[in-house]
Amino acid sequence: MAAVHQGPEVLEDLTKYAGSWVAIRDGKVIADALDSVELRNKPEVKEDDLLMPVPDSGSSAFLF
Amino acid sequence: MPELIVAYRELGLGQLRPFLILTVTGPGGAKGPIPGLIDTGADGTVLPAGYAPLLGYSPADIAAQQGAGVGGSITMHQATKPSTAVIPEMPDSEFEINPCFVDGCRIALWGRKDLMQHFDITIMERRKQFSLTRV
Repeated sequence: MAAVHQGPEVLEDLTKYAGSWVAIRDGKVIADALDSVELRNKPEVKEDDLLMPVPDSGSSAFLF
Repeated sequence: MPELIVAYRELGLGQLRPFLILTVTGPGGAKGPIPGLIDTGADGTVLPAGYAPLLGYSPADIAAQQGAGVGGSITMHQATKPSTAVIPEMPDSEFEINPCFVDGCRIALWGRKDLMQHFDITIMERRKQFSLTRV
């Protein structure tokens, strides 16, 4: 049987970053910005960090 | 037998969902991890527009086209150069993706043309897991 992969996980509630981009390392937000390039150019952000936009209503239902 | 079973993730967004994190390398070599939803309803890979510059796409590398979303007609920006993606837990799993970048999109979608051409995916909603089997 294949192993169940569990992570990585985000340990913070991202709703306070709704509408922004965040950089995540070790499960925690280490930087945020209004757009992706501004975030990537922050000195504390590394290439391996997980960069993602935060939905405006992340805890609501997703419809695609 | 599945090669990888992935537990649904919450990713700080309040609900467990079938997120898969791929390491994506753009045409210029820029790379990074991108979390996206497994989405059988998406024809291909859909990425929030902000990932285009992060992956090294210039305006010359994308072409506007019309698409349809649940909210109606949308303008998509189709990459004319592929990126590559790999599942970090399966280092030899590299495959090409041809993303559509969409303004206003806030969640990446791993659709049928790219990821699902290379992996059979089984959703196990009651277990909050999904599996991937290379084809």
